[in-house]
Amino acid sequence: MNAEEIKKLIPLYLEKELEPNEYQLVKDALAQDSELRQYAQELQSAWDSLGDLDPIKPSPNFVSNFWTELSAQDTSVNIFGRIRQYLYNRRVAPVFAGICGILLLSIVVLKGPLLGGNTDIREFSQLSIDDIEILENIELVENLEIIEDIEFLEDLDVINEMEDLELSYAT
Amino acid sequence: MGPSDYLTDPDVQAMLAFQQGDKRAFEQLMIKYFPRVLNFIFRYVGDRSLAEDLTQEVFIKVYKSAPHYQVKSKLSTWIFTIAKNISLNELRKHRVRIQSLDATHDTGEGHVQVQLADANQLDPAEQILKSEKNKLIRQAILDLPENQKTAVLLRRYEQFSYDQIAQVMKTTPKAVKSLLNRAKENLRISLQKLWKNG
Repeated sequence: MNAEEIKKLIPLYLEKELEPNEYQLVKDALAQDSELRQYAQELQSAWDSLGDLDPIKPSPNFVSNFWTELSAQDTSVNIFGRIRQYLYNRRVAPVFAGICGILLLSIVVLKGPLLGGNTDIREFSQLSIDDIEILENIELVENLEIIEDIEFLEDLDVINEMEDLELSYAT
Repeated sequence: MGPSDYLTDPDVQAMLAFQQGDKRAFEQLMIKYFPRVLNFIFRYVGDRSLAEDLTQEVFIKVYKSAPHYQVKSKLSTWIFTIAKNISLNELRKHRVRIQSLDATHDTGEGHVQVQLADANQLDPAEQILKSEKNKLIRQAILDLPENQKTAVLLRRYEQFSYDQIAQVMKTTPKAVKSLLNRAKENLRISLQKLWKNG
């Protein structure tokens, strides 16, 4: 086994994780090779020095902070949050938005025809009974005038024809 | 190992008690694990304030997961799996830059260095040396790739077995050994300054 292969085994050697025969092989190589020994020492020193790192301490009231944070999270979950969560979870948010858009568009497009046809009805419903009677009579009167005109014109035609006949007889 | 093998774990017992409504059991777990998780996350992300927030998040997740908790491992394995995932998500989501060890954080009483030496036992010169050494070690850990960092922190500071680390990282014990070997080589290179400077 060459030096490079021994080097690869040194970390496991230091952790005593090698099989007995491999462990002995590395041990013998280290005894004979100063560079390998230095390499092993550096690996071990680096690993040991990690233990010199000072830990940080949590803030003294971390337990009460936790309960406060938990309580804040619970109260912020309201019905809108649940609905939003449901939409996100079910991925229906895009569909929901699309349906709302279609409904809005429909209202805008159909607003004119729906409201325009009813204008006369709305205006008519605001009239008093007397006004309604007058309107009805106006129609009647108008019709009557038309009838009278027609009758007058018909009579006029008859008169003219009679005059023509008399003239023809006279001659 | 099956779930029954972990039932002897006193922390698992405490978690099961909490599942039955014993909030005091949860508080005891929190008192035991909060400092450990805080240091794990702090060494992972390099930012104290962020580490405190993320540690809170870990225990909120533990608290809310209690109704669904099932005994599948030692409790420490489960808790540190959550801590690792939350730390990793934070790093990847926000592309948190590795904190410069010259940065300070505000304790409300003025700005202090991130690493805190024990001022009561060292003279000023020793304090500076220790502070510099801590800085170098923290940076060496932060510079490790994420997988190697996780393996190193769990092995060196939590004394997790290869099996436990493999469970946390969802890999094999053999892969963990390989990760640790590469991590040790990287640490050796990063920390050469320590013994060269004396």
